[in-house]
Amino acid sequence: MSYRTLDKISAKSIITSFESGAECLVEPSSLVASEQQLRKHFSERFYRPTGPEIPADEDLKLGLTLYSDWLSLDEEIDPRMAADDGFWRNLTCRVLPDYVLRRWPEKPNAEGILKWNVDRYYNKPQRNWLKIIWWMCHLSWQGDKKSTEEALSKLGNDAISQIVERTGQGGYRVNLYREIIAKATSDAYPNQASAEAALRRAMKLNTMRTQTTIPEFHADGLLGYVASLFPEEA
Amino acid sequence: MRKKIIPPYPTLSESHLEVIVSYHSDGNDLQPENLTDGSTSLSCNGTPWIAQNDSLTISIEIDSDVLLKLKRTMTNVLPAGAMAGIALSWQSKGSLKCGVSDPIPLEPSNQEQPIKLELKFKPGEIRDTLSHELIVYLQSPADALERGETHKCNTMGARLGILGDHHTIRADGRGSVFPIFPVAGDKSGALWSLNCNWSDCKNDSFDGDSFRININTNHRDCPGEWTSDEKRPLSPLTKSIIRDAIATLILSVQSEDGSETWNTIKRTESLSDAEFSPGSVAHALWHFYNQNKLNDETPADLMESCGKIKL
Repeated sequence: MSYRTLDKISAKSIITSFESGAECLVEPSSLVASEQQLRKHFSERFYRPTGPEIPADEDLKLGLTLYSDWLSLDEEIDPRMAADDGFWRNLTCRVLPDYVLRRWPEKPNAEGILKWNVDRYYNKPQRNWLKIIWWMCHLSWQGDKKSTEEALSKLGNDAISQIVERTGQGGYRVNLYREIIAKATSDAYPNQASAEAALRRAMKLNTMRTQTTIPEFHADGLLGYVASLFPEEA
Repeated sequence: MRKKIIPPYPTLSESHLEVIVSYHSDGNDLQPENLTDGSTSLSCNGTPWIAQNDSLTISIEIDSDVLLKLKRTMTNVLPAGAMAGIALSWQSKGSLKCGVSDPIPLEPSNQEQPIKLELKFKPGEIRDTLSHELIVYLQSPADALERGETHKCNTMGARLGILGDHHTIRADGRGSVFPIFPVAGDKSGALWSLNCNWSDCKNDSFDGDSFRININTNHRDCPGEWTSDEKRPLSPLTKSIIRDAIATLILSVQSEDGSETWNTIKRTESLSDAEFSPGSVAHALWHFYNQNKLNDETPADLMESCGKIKL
């Protein structure tokens, strides 16, 4: 567990240098052992050193591998690191910038100049690619990898990203989110459209209700509270 | 603009409640120290509590006479036959988590003895800050209401109010350090510059990542405390730079985040109602604005009033 963190200014400097033409190369000797190991995992999984793009549907499988194996909670990283934007910034900007680029390729701006998608690297912590896919699995964890994959495969990336990007006033209620996702991806909602619609409605209702009630103290506990967020099932 | 939610039922106003708050780590008592930003740091006989390595238990003890007084107050809020409970609510934006302790019902039977609420955190669980407050909620609703009577709070788990003070534990840093960095810049460069790098001023921490003053140590007017190896007090020039930086920080929030965001920050009445996280850029601004009664009617007024900030 010897990962480093990276401050926003250094991250910006690294990505700006790539953007302005410096080759996006990572010198393994500049990385600590755990970072080198993580990079090795990525190079084995995405064996081509450059291109083609990493498709969006890879996010789910990669997120699950990160969460349950390469960056597993309490074994590889602790909750403090998982919540530390500097930790994720270090991974996206210093350790794996070339893989982030393959997932989020540069795009021309209004003047036709190619720009990197800096939000996915350092600019917006809530949009950091690796942070989002790791937290997506953490907040959706259904007890094991297979059940989590089944649940998440019923939801599109956008639906899940919206949950991860909205930390709320004080942070996530992890168990509550896991139960909401379990309910939204249950057999009651047989396809992606109905599951996503149910999830969106439930999240809105939850945001409103948590202003005035404490979910854990619902008459039927957390499960009862979650059931009340899906009134169409009642 | 986000507005504070007003529940559709009567609630307790923020009441002062005398409680004993104590902190422990692996059976050892921790001593709190108040920091200048209103947060608290913890140590054990002079050795700092380290969130990465040490566990944390937060205990709140409430005396029986205080509980009786609270129960009497609750009769003004609850329908007859309903019962309230109390619990410790906590949030740690920096750890991306929040939650609530096991609750204790305000039953007549447990009012003879003091009651104790606890929150426990493992080593490596908390980062940045952790805030906690005592809440009162509806433990069990009334079975039957009087004829014609309606109570919208007759729902289990309804929040009825906050009791006592809001506490913020600082897990990292000291919270009071203004982010100033000496930088060996160009001799002909500016004496100081600002980096405003926050993406969300309400949640990003007020630290060197989001905001920093860079002092050019190669500039001929660089104040001595930034070039000397000895620890020296802040010079009048550095204080003047900080005051101007605070004004620029406010102007940046007004232009980058919008006047609505700024108005939300400055109109916040208390930290417990705040729509921003403890230790955030917005929290720092709120502190500067209210503590120094700044005038933001025009940029010139703002600069002038910031010039009077006592440092």
